[in-house]
Amino acid sequence: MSPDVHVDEQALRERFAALEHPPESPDWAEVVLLTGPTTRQRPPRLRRPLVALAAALALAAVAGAAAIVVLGGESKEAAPTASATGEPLAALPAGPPTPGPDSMQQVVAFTLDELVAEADVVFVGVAEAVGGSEPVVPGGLTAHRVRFLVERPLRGLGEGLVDVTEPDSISLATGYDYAPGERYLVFAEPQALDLGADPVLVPLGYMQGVFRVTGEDTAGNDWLGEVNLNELESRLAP
Amino acid sequence: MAVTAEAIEAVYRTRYGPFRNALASVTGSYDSGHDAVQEGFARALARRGDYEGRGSLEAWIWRIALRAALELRGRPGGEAALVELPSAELVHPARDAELAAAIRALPPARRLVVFLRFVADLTYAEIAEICEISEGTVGATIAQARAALQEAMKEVPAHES
Repeated sequence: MSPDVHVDEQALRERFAALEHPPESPDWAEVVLLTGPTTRQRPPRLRRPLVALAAALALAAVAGAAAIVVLGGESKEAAPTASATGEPLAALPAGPPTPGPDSMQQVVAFTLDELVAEADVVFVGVAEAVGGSEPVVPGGLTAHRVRFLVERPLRGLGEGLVDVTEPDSISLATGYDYAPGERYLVFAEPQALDLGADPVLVPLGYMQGVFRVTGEDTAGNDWLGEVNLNELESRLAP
Repeated sequence: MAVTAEAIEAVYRTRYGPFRNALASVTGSYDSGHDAVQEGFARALARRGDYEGRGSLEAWIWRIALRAALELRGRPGGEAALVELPSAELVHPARDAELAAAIRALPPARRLVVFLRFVADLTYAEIAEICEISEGTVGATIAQARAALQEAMKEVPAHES
């Protein structure tokens, strides 16, 4: 096997399909016969249809004169933003191309309205520290934690330190490096990151829920780029 | 929202194969995989009134069938048990040595997602619902599994097919 072997989803599907399976023996009558009193199961817990793959982010930006909010490390043109009339918040523009067709199929791009609607936790905070990669459960998916000092809690938490966990992904090419001292607007929610794992705070749609603030220091200002934080805060109110 | 017996039967008749093959990786053999399918669909049929109409019917049946498979294997049906599955033994080295070695090298938690994706042919959304993880986690898990498979396939001789 050459060292540059490429394993994509289609190739894997073909490999599995080529495996020998014994003949199938469906028997619906037997199923009906087996039907009887059983123990009640916990109903399935529905997950909200969040984004599928971090690598396929639709990068977004909310830019303005005072500050520029950057996602994915690239500045974007100013986007239409929240109005004082209660009109929907601006749709976030699509970002750079994603790593591959497999992940592209899974992308669900979030609008700012959807981030507002979906996020359990929203804040503006300063990155304090970034942890190393570690498995979420033994032998499972790996992730890293980012510790923020919350400057402006907007929903679901107070001021202070908060840890946000981001899954590592082989194809995650567009994530932040999180230098300490950088300021971010974060939309997050609790999620179990792997089978059997306890819920942790995770950015919505992976990096789609994280906006890096660059440009002038906006700490304490009412505006973040062209997003009026006061209005955003009112949108985030219960 | 109750689901009809006919709707469950339709899932059974069109998807028996993927259910049997994927659940066999949980129970350890194709025969017991069949038993898990039968028991899972019987339970789904019996408690179809519990289906709330949120998410796909097939994903709902998958969760029930996975529990049945876990019980057949003699494990408790909790989340921790799901982490330990499935078995790698159903990918025979004689048939595809590379894939067998790669699957065996995967952590069990990733194996389950990989089997649900590539054996049961489920969507990310369905796997997310079945495993009670986010779609993003499914995608990230498959991305990591793919990389692990790629790495494993570098380390074994090419198979002759």
